[in-house]
Amino acid sequence: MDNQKYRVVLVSHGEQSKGMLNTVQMLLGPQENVAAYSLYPQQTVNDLSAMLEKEIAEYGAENIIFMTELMHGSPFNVVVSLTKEHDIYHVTGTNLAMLMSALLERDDETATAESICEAAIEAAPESFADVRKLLAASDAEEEEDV
Amino acid sequence: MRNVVLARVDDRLIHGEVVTAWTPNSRANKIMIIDDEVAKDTFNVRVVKALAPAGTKVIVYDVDKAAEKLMVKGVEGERIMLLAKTPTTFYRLIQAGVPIKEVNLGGAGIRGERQPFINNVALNPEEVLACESMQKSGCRVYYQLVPEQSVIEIDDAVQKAKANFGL
Repeated sequence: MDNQKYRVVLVSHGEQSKGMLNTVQMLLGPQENVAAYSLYPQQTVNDLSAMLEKEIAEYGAENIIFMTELMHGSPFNVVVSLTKEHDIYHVTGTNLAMLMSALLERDDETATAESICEAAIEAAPESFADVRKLLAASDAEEEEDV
Repeated sequence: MRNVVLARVDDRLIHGEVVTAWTPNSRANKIMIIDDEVAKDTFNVRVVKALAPAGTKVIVYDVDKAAEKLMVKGVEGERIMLLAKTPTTFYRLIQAGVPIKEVNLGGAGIRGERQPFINNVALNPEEVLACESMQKSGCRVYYQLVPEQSVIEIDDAVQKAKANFGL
């Protein structure tokens, strides 16, 4: 688990990225080579862009998986704008299940930037549900069994 | 003229509010970005088209091309949202003969000569005069960030801004 090759960089509106990083380490234990960036109301998208450019300069775009929380949101748009100059790995719609899957995939020795992104996306469809409806559907099935 | 369901000034163009609030509210199925600079930027054009919100097609034109494309007969069922970074763009369209009835001011950040106008909309002198001219020509210009929020008419803000800029 040491010396993680791939860096996971969360980017969000406000504190979500930092909170998510904190929470995921509660579930998976301390994580190396991760970072969280926030866009605050008093900041411009250029401020955020400059911070992410620094990340890329230091770690290399090929080693970073950017994870944003909302498609078409400003943090998402900033990361997309980086693709003009760099070859960027970027997953959006990130929730805790997706982040956990990405981090677990990263622990695999054979993991690649592509496989980490794939792991995040594969976790997405099963990560949300209207639980009330799920329970109602299950009740209906049980009645049929009788 | 083609069926325009919303004409919005928003210098972030396609972003959260437009995608999650205005697109479903207006039931737009086509988003036309009108901007001379963006239309020239092939990277930007490729990106906004590739990332079109679900159920929409995105097209990008400069003002001249948009004026021409808006005046043709539209396709049945077409619902177009116009997005521009500045009210001046819509004034130029009106001057070019496109009868736009309403312009929604949604977002314009402070940069250059812009001064706060209403909430998150800041305008420079040219943009203030463009808003006033549009109003005079019979086009209603109003402020509204998201559909759930109430509308603010701009008349008072125009007078204040003109006094502020010494116009």
